[in-house]
Amino acid sequence: MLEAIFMAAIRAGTPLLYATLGEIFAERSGVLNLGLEGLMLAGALMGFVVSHITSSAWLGVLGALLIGGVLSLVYAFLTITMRVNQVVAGLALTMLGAGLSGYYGQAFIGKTASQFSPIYIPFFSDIPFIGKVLFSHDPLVYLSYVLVPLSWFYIFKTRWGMNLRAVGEDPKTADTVGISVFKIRYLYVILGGMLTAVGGAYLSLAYTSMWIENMTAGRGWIAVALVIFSAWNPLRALLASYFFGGVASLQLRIQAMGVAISSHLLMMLPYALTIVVLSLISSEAMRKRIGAPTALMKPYSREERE
Amino acid sequence: MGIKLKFEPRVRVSKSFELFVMLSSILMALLVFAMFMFLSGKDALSAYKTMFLWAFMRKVGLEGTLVKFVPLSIIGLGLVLAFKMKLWNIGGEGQFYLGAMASTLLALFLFPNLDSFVLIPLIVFAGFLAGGFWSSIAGVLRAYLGADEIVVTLMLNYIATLWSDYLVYGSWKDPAGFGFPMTAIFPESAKLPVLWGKVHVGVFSPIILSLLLKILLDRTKWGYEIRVIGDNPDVALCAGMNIKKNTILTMFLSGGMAGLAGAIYIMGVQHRLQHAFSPGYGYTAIIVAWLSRLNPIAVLLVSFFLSGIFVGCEILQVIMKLPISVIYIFQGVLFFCVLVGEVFIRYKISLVR
Repeated sequence: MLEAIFMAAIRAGTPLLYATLGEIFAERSGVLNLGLEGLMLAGALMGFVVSHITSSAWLGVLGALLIGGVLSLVYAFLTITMRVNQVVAGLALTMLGAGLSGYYGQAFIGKTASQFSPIYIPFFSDIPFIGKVLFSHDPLVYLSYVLVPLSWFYIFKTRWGMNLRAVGEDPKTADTVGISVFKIRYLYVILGGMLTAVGGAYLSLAYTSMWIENMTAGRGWIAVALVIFSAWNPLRALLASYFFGGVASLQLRIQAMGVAISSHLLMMLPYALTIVVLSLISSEAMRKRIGAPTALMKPYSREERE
Repeated sequence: MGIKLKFEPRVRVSKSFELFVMLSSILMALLVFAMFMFLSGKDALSAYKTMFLWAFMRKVGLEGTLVKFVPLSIIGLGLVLAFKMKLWNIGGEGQFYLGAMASTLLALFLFPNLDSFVLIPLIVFAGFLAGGFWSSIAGVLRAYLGADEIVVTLMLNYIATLWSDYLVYGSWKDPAGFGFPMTAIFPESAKLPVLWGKVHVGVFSPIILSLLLKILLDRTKWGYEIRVIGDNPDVALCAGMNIKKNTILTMFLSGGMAGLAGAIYIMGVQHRLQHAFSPGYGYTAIIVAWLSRLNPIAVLLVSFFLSGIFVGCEILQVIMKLPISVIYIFQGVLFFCVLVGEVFIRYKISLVR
């Protein structure tokens, strides 16, 4: 029972984790990408379509990476080069992602595509309890196990990571010491968008195994909040994502047990929880303590003083 | 990197230049969208012709346009108010739902026997309060805990639609409704009088509200305070303005407008609460507010135009078998074009070597 709950939490948390990781990179560079929901939807559809055509789920992931990269390139151009308001541009990206995926996805409703299935890992999968909880998953989950510590190491322990943080904290100084603010912001917004799109592809290629219009159901927005909960730290992003995944899957479990609560009310849980946790963690003092990038949402230009 | 873009902030921008840029943005969006249709193998020109003729020139189409114009413009006006203070109320959809739910509660369950002279104003007021209550949650959390109102209002949207579904699939379901997720039809006393076809008296409310908002923003001290807080919170703080109080009040009024729109929409058009009754008015209203450059009068024109596009897309769905999601693509494209247009208004952009 407990085994199953933890296992489900990881499965449900993985799409959130990819999106949160992606957004951590973008926000660390000082760009708030609110288009996660649209990016995830685009990734979910693209992944599904490519996997449907090529019968390869991995090529599906590649497709998601591609569409995530292209869409966030557009976003990067608008917000970094053209200095469009990041909040509104994110909303526009979400609308576009939802519209495009809804339009092109029509033909793929009810279709099947090659899926990711659980892979047995010798030795690890045999460990009691932990083997079942952590090592009875599909390759995308294992990949995220690797990505999380790697991202943490990259952001906090390498030179490139230091440059990334410098641009998000104090772009002017970073520029003075010869770091290209524009290049770095472009790079990480695109990387972030690609990871987010993989989170979407996880939904259509592993989690629900089909394409449904608007199947992300607000996960992109929850991920925006998760970035704050995780204090822009990949390791905490893992915990936060699994916690939310746990709540989401608990809701399914309660329903399956036949408890007499309306499913509509249970479905509110993750959204309500997002509000509660966000409120607890958002005070200015708290934000400073957990280390929000100082230059977040501030466009950069050499000539102008903001 | 040979060529670079150079941004020079414009000191003064004339109204006509603003208008010119905004119209060009719309034109640009229409062009991009035409390209999209061309790529999907549709005849864009005839599609546009069908859309515009139907939405603005045919009686039934124009009725549809006016019917959508009402909620869209009222929610849009509410958003203008919040956006002026740089409060990102993205929760118009949820607040719209709350207004509709409160109206249903009054019309069907609390006062079905009241006379319409009393009932209709009462419902309008209840809708306003309900929408205002919903957005105030975000306002209070923002003011006292610093919780990001974008995320909170969005989460509240999901909760509101689920709540409404909980009711129409559950205790409010019409016993005589063949199991459809909707409530019974409202009593006659809770229906707005019809002017022409489907167009109800509520069609005047956006005009009144937009004038009121215009006066509030331009002519009152409070409107001035809102703008100062939005543009420069530090100055506002020094001048002794109460930011917390104004945050909550502005969010309340902003959501209240959306709730009011919900009340008018449900009394004027739907006459019942049902599953997924809004095609995303609350989200489209964000574009309305932005495209009108936070000008209450422009909101009327922009929402009329976007309502027409909505209705036009519905007819394309019937004639050209285009799925309704094209409207969201168009909205996204339009949104991007408007945002870029805005950059041209704010900056003088030139290429430098």
